[in-house]
Amino acid sequence: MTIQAQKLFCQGLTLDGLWQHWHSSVSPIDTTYVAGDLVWTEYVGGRKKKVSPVEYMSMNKSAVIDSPVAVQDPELEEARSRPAAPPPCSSFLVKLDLTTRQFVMVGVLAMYLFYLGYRVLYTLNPEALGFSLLFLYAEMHACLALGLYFFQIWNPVARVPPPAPRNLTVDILIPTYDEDLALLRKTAISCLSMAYPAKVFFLDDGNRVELSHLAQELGCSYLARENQIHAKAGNLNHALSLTDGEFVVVFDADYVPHPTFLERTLGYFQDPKVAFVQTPHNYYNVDSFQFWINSKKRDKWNEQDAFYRFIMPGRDYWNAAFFAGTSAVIRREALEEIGGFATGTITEDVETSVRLYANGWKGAYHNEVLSNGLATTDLASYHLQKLRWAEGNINLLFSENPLTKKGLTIPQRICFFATVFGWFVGIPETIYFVTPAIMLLTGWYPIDPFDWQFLMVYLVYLVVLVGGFKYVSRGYGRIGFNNLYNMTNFFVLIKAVAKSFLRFKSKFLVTPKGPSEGVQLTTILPQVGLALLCFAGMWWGVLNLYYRITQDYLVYSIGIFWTGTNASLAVAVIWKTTRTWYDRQTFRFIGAIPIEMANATGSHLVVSKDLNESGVSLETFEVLHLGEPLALTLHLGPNVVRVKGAVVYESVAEGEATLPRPLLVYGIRFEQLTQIDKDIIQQFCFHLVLPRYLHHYAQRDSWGQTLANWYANRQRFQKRARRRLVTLPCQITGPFSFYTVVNDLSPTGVAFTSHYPFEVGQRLSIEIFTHHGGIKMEIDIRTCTSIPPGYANLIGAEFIEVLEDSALSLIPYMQPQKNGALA
Amino acid sequence: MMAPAIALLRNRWVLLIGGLVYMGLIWSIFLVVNHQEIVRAELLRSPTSVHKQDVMEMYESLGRQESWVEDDVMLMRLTEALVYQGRGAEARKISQGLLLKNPKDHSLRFQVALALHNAGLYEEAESHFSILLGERGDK
Repeated sequence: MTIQAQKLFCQGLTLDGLWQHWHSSVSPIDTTYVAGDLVWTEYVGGRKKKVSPVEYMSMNKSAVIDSPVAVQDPELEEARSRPAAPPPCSSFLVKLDLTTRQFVMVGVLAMYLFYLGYRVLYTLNPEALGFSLLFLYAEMHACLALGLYFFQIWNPVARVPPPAPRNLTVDILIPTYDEDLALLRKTAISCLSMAYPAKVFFLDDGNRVELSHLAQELGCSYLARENQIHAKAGNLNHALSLTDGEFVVVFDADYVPHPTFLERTLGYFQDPKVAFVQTPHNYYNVDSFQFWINSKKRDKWNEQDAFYRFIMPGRDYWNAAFFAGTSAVIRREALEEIGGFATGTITEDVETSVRLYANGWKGAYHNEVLSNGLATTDLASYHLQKLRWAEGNINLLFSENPLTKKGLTIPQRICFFATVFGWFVGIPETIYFVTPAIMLLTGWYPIDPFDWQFLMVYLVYLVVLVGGFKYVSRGYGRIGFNNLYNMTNFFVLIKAVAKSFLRFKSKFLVTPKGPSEGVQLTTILPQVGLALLCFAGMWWGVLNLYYRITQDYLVYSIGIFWTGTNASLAVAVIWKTTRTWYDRQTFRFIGAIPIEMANATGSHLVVSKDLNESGVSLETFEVLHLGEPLALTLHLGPNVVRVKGAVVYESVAEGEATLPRPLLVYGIRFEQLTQIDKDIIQQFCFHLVLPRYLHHYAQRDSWGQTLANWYANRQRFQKRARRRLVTLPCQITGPFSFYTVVNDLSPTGVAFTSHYPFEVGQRLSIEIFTHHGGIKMEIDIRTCTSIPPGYANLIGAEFIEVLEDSALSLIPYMQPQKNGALA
Repeated sequence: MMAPAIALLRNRWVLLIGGLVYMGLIWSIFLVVNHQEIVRAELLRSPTSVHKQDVMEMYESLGRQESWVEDDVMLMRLTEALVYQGRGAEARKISQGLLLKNPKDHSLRFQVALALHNAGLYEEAESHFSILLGERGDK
């Protein structure tokens, strides 16, 4: 959020005002691109050159972003002129780190090849040769997949976004078929709120009158066509024929962009050969079954993250990142040169990318989450999506075969072959899943002799493989989660391979993004079948040992362990996907905001647990009753929304022994909320609450970096008093007065989230509201960390005077912070 | 709304009872499929504890299964079991067959002789002891 926008935001805005200030805002304060330990690579003069962010900023110092509607603001200029943060460590260390990882990749592959050689020479079982060869194939497949993975991540690129040139014309295209209008409204409003001017088009293949009315209401353009030939690609091409912007942005109906999306991406087109800029896909409905979240360990896993945050930057080094269907900007000239978006395929994005590369264009990957979409909410929809992607990508072999397509470089061929090959993973994984169970049931050994000598070789190979894979994957290599992903999808992926090779005609099916339809037994039959097979195999093996039919205790023990692992994967998938995940019509954003709640007993300041435009969950010690009417005042940063609501459910928060009485959770449904208020709540959720939540689970430093940071800041750490994570409403009084929520509290300081980026050293007043009374203190700002993409800040402050003993003694009895419910 | 089949699948009692039934079913199949293997294993472990009927079944299946004939240790154990159950005639047939196959296996001959002696078939046993002693004397 720019300071200009912050100021306007602070004045309390209508929706029109909200749009205006976002249109008038120019760039986020924090233009530093922090890339962890990745190598800084930038295209300078058309050639790749490694530069530090500081160098980059100095190179581009004169190139001030000049938006057509830029507002001159001294504070903004001052913010812009701040030096960029230095890179995380020196270029030598970065290079050393990269070289070490590359060395490890080579070492792991060498070990894998040695292992395969040993397997071929000494451990093929002639008594069950077919079975043994099948297992060997699975291992060889995995070796090739690992080699392709290492190739892709050889040198991940972290680009610094160049300033966006002025006066570019941009058309934002939102293809839609039957998506919910409320969903489209969110997307359109966010597109209209872009800081960089752009025209927004609904491309409606559903020919809905109500959507044309919505377009009219919001000020978007509405394009429809008489037929739905070539599905999404056809729809986009139809729009291309009716629009004239130099650049085209594609957003799927559920993708909500940040206002800075264009500013952060358009700069790459200063290179005239860049055809498209892709940004990561990110899902915001973290309650989908696709997420594995451990709030205590601040760990969030989604299978897409590794691809979009790590592999794609790696492919960017080889100029082989691809347009991924949404959240991308494309140069119209490039599209026109290849005849528009690729048709005749169900994955137009990859095929379009291959054609662009083959025609000599370049792609760029900007590794910053600038838009958020919806993950599928049930397994059937998820499988539908996976099937489409797998089929489409495998069909690339028959349409634009990357191995034979003219015009591609060798690395591009390898990368796109890796894209296709990745979808074949279902075959070896199925072999891995069923082999141990079959071995136990039949007595066929895939590896023979399986003796101590082999076990030693295998253990060394396994340690090198797992350790190396984790090390080079920089936190994205999660073997357990990858296995879960494979267990979820193995059957669908095999189905896709079969359909592709049998040349079944594929149809573009829109992935449902609404509330969960629930899971049918047929959807999880492959996993249920596999679990039953594994349990039978385990039990059979145990009985074999019990009746002493076999004397191969080593083989059978390992077989039972391995089968048990596969069974547990199958059960985990069944258990997770059959849970009721998505009762609500729309996702609630997890986050704490201060809310004034007025009922018959008086007015209370409480905090939310989660929020969206339909309702809110509150945590409070006050007792409310079902159906009780409430008047709520939501403090959304500087904005205030007043709304009526009613209690629709109640529960008790998880126990905290120190609390004086149970902490109660109430679900409140909003009543008679105006559309403008809904839009303001939505925008606040997307641009402040969601980034704060995602930041909580952001990729953390490696242990080496953590140690280095600790050493560099050891004095600060030594002085820091023990803090307690609490969620309490507070009021900040300074240049602007606003309510927010405390993240943590200690006798010497406090941390809170602010939409306003305070200066270090600034003095403010804070009043923390507890149910025992208020604590009013003067504070000195010590840290201000911007949360990407720059609309919220984590503020660390020290009390001018140490907290009094009486207040201090209250801390253990305050409302605890739970489940990442952060301000 | 959870589908009824899924609700059943997630029900702990259904899982517990279903799991037990499933295990029982697998166990039954295992016993049927591996009956002979189980008896063989039992025979190897403790020839005297094998069920009478199982021993006779094994004896009867000797003629049908070549692999049994090759397995000398197993035949030896079967001999012991037959002797223990008072089936001296059958035991003698097997031991004779065994010794015909391995006439110079002194260890085998000694075990056969011992088994016959323990079963009260002293004459049979004596002849084998004599051969053993005679061969030793020759040496």
